Amino acid sequence: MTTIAMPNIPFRYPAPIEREIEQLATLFAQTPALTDYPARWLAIQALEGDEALLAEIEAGGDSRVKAALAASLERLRAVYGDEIDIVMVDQRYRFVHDIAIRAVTRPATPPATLSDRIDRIVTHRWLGIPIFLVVMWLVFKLTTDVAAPFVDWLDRVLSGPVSRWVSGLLHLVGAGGGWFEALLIDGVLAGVGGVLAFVPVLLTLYFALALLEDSGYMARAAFVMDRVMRLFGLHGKSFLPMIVGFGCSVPAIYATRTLDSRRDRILTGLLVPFMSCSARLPVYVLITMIFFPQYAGHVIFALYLIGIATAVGVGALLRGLLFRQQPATPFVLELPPYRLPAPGNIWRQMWERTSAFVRKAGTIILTASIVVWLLLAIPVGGEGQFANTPVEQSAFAGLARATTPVFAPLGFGNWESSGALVTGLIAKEVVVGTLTQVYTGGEAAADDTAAMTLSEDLVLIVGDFGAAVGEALRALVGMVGFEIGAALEEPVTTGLAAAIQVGLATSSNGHGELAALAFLVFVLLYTPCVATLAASRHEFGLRWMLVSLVGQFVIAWLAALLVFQGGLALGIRLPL
Amino acid sequence: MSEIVVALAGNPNVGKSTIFNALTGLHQHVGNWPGKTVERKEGRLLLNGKTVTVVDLPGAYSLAARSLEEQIARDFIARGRPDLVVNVVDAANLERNLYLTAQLLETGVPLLLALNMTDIAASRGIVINPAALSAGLGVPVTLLAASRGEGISALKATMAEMLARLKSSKQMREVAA
Amino acid sequence: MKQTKHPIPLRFVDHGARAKLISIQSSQRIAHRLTELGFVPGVELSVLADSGSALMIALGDTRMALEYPLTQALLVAVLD
Repeated sequence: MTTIAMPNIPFRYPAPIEREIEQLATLFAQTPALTDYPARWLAIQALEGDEALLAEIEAGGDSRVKAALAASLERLRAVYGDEIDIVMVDQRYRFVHDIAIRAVTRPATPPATLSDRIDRIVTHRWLGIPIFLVVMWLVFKLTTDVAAPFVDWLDRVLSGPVSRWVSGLLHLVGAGGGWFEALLIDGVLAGVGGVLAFVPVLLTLYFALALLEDSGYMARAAFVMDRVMRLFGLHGKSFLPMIVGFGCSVPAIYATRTLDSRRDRILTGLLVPFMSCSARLPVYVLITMIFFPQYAGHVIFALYLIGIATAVGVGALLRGLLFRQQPATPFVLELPPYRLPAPGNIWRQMWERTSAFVRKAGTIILTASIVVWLLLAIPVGGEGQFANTPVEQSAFAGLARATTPVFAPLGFGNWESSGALVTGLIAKEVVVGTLTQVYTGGEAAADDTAAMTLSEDLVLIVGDFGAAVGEALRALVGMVGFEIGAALEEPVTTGLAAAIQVGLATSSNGHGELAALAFLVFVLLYTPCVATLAASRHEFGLRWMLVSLVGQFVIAWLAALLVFQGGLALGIRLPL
Repeated sequence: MSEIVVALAGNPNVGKSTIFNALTGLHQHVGNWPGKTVERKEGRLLLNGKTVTVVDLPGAYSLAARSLEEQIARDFIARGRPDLVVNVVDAANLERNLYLTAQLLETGVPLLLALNMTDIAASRGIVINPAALSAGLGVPVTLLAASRGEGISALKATMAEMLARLKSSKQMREVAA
Repeated sequence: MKQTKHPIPLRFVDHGARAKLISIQSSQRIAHRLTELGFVPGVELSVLADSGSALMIALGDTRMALEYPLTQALLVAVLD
C-alpha cells in the first residue's frame, strides 16, 4: 500500500477533538464504502453531527467503525456536552479571524454605506410594503402592456403570412387543401403560436426579475413581505415564486427550487397556481366585456383578490392537514449590498430562463394542441368526413357533452363552455379561441386570405413589428396610467357576444350573468395548464401533481357552485 | 487523457456566476444534476491549449449541507474531487466568506482563492493584504472586480499555473508509486 | 466599554444600538446554522430594521434578515 500524503492541515481543533478525528480518520480510510470521501474531512463532519454523512457511515461502516464513532462522541460529550459542533464551528472562525486580523485593515469608524442608507427607506416598517407594491405594479405594467403588442404581432404573423406560406408551399408540392394542411395550420402552427405567445411576456417578466435580483432589491422584498407570506404558512423566501405566478405558473413552480426545505417547496408549489397568471387575463376580459362592460375592471380585480384569498385559505388547510408534522424552516436571509445590475447578466438570465421554458413547456403545449385538433377533426355521427366536420358533430363536442353534467350545477353546463374549459388545459388563453370557434364555427378569426406576394408579406411583418415597438414604447411612457381594458382595443364581435350570452342564459335558466361569474371563478381556480402539471410533476413528483390537479378542480368546482347557487338563493340579479 | 475539471464554489451573492460567465463565455451548458432538479451549469475554457471544464456550483454558506443546493456543492467537492476548486469570496465581507474556505481546506482539495468585489471593499475603506491572506490560508490568492471585468485574465493565468503544477506533482507521485 | 449586566434577547435591543453576542439559546440544529452564518459568541451586532415579523441585522459587513423567534434565541449584551 502506498502511503497517502496527508494534505497540509491548515488549523487544528482542541486536543480532545483532534484525538478523535485522527482515530476515526484512520478507521474511515480502511473502510471501502467510505473511501470516496477524504478521511479526515469525513471524521470532522461526523463529529460535527452531519446527518446525511452519519447515515452513510451507518450504512457503509462495519461494527468496529460504528462502535468507534459512538465511543468518540461519548468521550467528547463528556467534555463539551451538546456543544461539540459549536466548538468546532467556533474553531474555524478563530482560524479565519486570526488571518483576517493580519490581512485586513478597515477604517476605525466604518462609513455609513449607501446601501444602509437606501435600506433605511426601502425596508422601513411602514414604507416598505407601499414601496414594494409600487415596484410590483411597475413590473406588471411592463409584462402586460409592453409585452402585449409583441404577442399580438406574433399572432398576426403566424396566422397571416406564415400560414399563407405553409399553405402555399403545400400547394406547390401538391399536398395542399387536404387534412394535412389543416393539421399543419390549425394544429401544429396554432400550437407553436400558443408557445410563442408566452415568449414576449416571459422575456419582459424575466428582465424585470433579473433587474430586481441583480440590484439586490429582491432580498429586501423578501424581508418586507415576510410578514405577509406568513398568512400563507410560508415565509419571505416564498414570495418570489408567488409573484412570478402572476406572470406564469410554470416558471413560478421552477422558482421554488431556491427554497430551503421540501415542505416549503411543495407548499409554495401548491399555492402558486392560485395566483392568477397572465394567460387567464384574456378570458376575464372577453367574458367581463360581454356580461359586465361597466364593471369589467372591478370584476377582474376582484378575481385576482379571490385567487389570493383562496391561496391563504388553502395554505392554512394544507398546514393543518398535510404538513402538520413538519414545522416551517426558520427565515434566515442574507441581504447583499445594492449594486448596479450588469447588462450581460440580465440578458443571460432572460435568455436562459425563457429558452428553458420553451424547451420544457413547448413540446407539451404543442402535443396538446395537436390532440385537440384531432378531436375536432374526427366526426362522430353526422355525415362529416375527417378534418371536414361541423364542430358540433366532432369527437371534441362528443367528449365535451359527456362532461356537461359536471358543470350543470354551476350554471354553465353547455358543451361549448365545458369544451372551452377542457382546451383551457393547454393554456388558459386558448379558452377564448375555443369559444370563438365553437360559437361562430371557427371562421370569425379567419384572416383575409387574399393573395399577397412574398415582399408584401415581409413589408407587413416588418411594418407590424415597428408598430408593435411603437405601441410598447408608448405603453412604457404611459406606465402611470392604469387601464385594464388596454388589452381589448379590438371590440368583441357582436355575433360572438350574442352567442355566448344566449348560450349561458340557456344553460343557467336565464341567469347568464351569474353563470358567467361562476365560469370566471372556475377559470381562475382550476389547473392553469398541462405545462404547469408537467412542471409540478417534474419538481414534486406524480403524487403531488395529482394532489394539485384534483385539489384545484374540487376547489374551483365548489367556489363556482357557491357563486352560482348562492347567487340564485339570495336572488341576486346582475349587474347590480 | 482524462478531463480536467475546475469547480467554482462560494457563498451566495459573491459574483460567482459573473466570474463563470467571464471564464466560459458562450461555451456553456445548462443541465440538471443527476436525479435532482437543481440546475447544473457547466462551461468550457481553453487554458494553455487545454480544454478545461468549469462547473458553477450552487452557492453555499457551509459544507454541512442544509439545503438541496448546498448538498450538491458538498458532494461535488468532497466526493467528485475536482482537479481544482476556485473559491470565490466577497472582499467586502471577508470573514464570513472565509468560513467556507476553512471547510474547503479541510477537504484537502486543491484550492485557489478568488477575492472578488475588491472595488466595493475599497469604496468602504477596507484594505486587504493578499500576501498575508495567502500565507495564512496556504493557498494562492488572486484579486478581481468581476462586475467591471477586472482580474479575469490574472485568474486564468493562476488557474493555468496551478493546474500545470498539480499535474506534474501528480505524475511524479505516479512515477514514485 | 461598559456592558449591561444581564444578557437580553436581540429582539428587544433598540434599533441602531450596538450589542455583543453572548450565547445562542435554541435547538442544536439552529444554533449550528446560526454560528456557521457568523453568529459566533463575541461578535458585534446591531438591529437596522424591523419588518413586523423579522429583523434586519448588521453583523460586521453582512446584512442578515432573521425571523423574530431566532432573534429571541440570540442573547446579547448591549454596548454603549
